[in-house]
Formats: sequence, C-alpha cells, structure tokens
Amino acid sequence: MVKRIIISVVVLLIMGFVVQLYLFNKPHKNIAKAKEDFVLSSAEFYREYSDNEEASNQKYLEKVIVLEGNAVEIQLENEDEPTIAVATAEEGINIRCGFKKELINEVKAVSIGNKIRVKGKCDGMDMFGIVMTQCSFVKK
Amino acid sequence: MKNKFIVLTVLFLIGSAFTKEESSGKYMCKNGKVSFFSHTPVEDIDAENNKASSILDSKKGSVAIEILIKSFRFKKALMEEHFNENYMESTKYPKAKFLGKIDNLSQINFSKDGTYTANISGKLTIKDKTNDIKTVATLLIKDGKINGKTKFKIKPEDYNVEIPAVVKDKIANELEIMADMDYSPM
Repeated sequence: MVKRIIISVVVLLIMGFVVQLYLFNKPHKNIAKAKEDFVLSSAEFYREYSDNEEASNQKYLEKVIVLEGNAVEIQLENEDEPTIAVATAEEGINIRCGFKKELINEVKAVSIGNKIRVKGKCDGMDMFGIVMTQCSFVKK
Repeated sequence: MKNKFIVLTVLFLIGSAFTKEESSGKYMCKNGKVSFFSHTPVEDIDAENNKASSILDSKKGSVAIEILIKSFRFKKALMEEHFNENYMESTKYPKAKFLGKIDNLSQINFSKDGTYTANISGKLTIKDKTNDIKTVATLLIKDGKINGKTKFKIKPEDYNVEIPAVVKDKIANELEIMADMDYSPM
C-alpha cells in the first residue's frame, strides 16, 4: 500500500515536471502556418484603424491578418527585420510588414508598386501607420 | 561648354536637394531597434522590438518616439505571453511613448558628418504612468542620415508593472533599455 502511494506520488511529480518544462519551453505560435483571422485590403484596414483605434485594437491586436496591398517602400535599414511598407489610401501612411531576417531575399525581390499578399500578426498603430510583424508571403 | 552646363545643372540639383532637407529639418525612423535586458543570478531575460517609430526635429531639438508593446519578441513564448498579458497589459496599453528634447542642441551640427553626444530629457509613458527621464545619446551623422544610440535604466515599479512575489527573483529591479535608431530626412 505504502509502495503504491509512493509510486503514484513520484509519477505525479514527474508528470507535473514534464508539463512545467513543456510550458516553459513551449514554442512560439507559428504565424506563417496559423489560420488567418481576417483577410483585409491595406486601405480598408487603415481606414478602420484610423476611425477608431481603441476598438480596432480590441478587434485586431495579436490576430493573424492576411493583408493585400501595393508595396510602396522596401525598408532594409534595420538588418534584423527587413520590412515592406504597404500603401494605404493616405499618402505617407503605410502598413509596415516586418519579416524574419531569413526572408530578406524574398523581401528584396518585391518591386515598388507590386501587389502583395502578406500574412502577419497585428501589433497596433503608431505615428506612421499600422505595424505587422512575423510576416510571410502568401501565394494566391 | 556643354559639360559646364551639365556640371552646373548637377550642382544646382544637389544644392536644391540640400536646401530642401534643411528647410524641413525633420528626420524619421520607422524600424528602430529597442531592446531591454534583465539580469538576475536566476535568469537573464531579453526582448527586442524592431518597429520603434520616431520623429526628430533638428530645428526645434524635439524627439518623439512611439513603441508598440506587441512588437517585442522574446526567445521564450511563455515569457512573451506573461509580458503582454500580466506585466504590460498590452491590449489595454498598446504603446509606450517618449516625448523629449535635446538639451545641448547648439552643440550638434546636423549638416556636418560626425559623432555627437546629445543630452536628452523628456517624459516616458509606459502603461498609464509618465515619468521624467534623462539619457545621453550618441548621434552619428553621415550623408544626411542620423543613427542614434542610447542606453538607460528604468524600474518596472515606476510604471505600475507589478511583479508577483513568486517570480521576483527572476526579474531584475532595474531593466536596461537600449535603443538603436536609424533616421532619414522626411
């Protein structure tokens, strides 16, 4: 009887430890493989955000967005996160899509004016527009 | 004669480009790097944000920075989750802001390449708390562009970041904040 109790306690402890270890080391959500929550054009996305930033934050923050729009600038000054700025209806206001370093060649292959489809995580709006990170290209 | 004309045209174009830059005097940074580092004997924690946005007005000497909290990336997913949900409440408070000025503006010549030291003071807002901070930044001015770097420390408790007792020995009392921002003329 005592032996049984000891064995069950040890088993429980090991299980607990494994769960802890799993939680502690659990991998990041893979945005590229995740199912998108919204499919939006860059113009409508920004229009909605600028109309009501707080409501848009509640709706879109940390959500997976598939964004469609025209590349307006390739930003490579920060080597750790090559970025494509996607045009909105407002001049000078863009949706900045940050990609992993490994995707730099794909980012460089985009030409200004190209229509692109990008999947990424919505981080919110700052002084230059909307920010998406962990982006990848989506084939039509 | 023809060559002379071309040279003059080119000089005129270069000249007008420079006067145009000088007339605005504003610089912007769209993908600045801001990271923070916490060291304790138990654990080192660091996170990086590559989307810091900023406008620097070289005439007024003002600096505005906005950083989206959700853009901070941690090595461990669980840390990122705790950071967003428990400590920063980043859906409620999605951005941190800095509004400040360069106190020694007269010592910086934005039209001359070189390395300058800028004394910056201003107000840093994280969550719903705003505090005065002072920092020294190194400005590297080259070909009309500016790279600004700075490092300073903040205490989580000064910004209403509550750290539960269970993890207190894993998170430093003071976090080191580092910024590395590339500005180009607006």
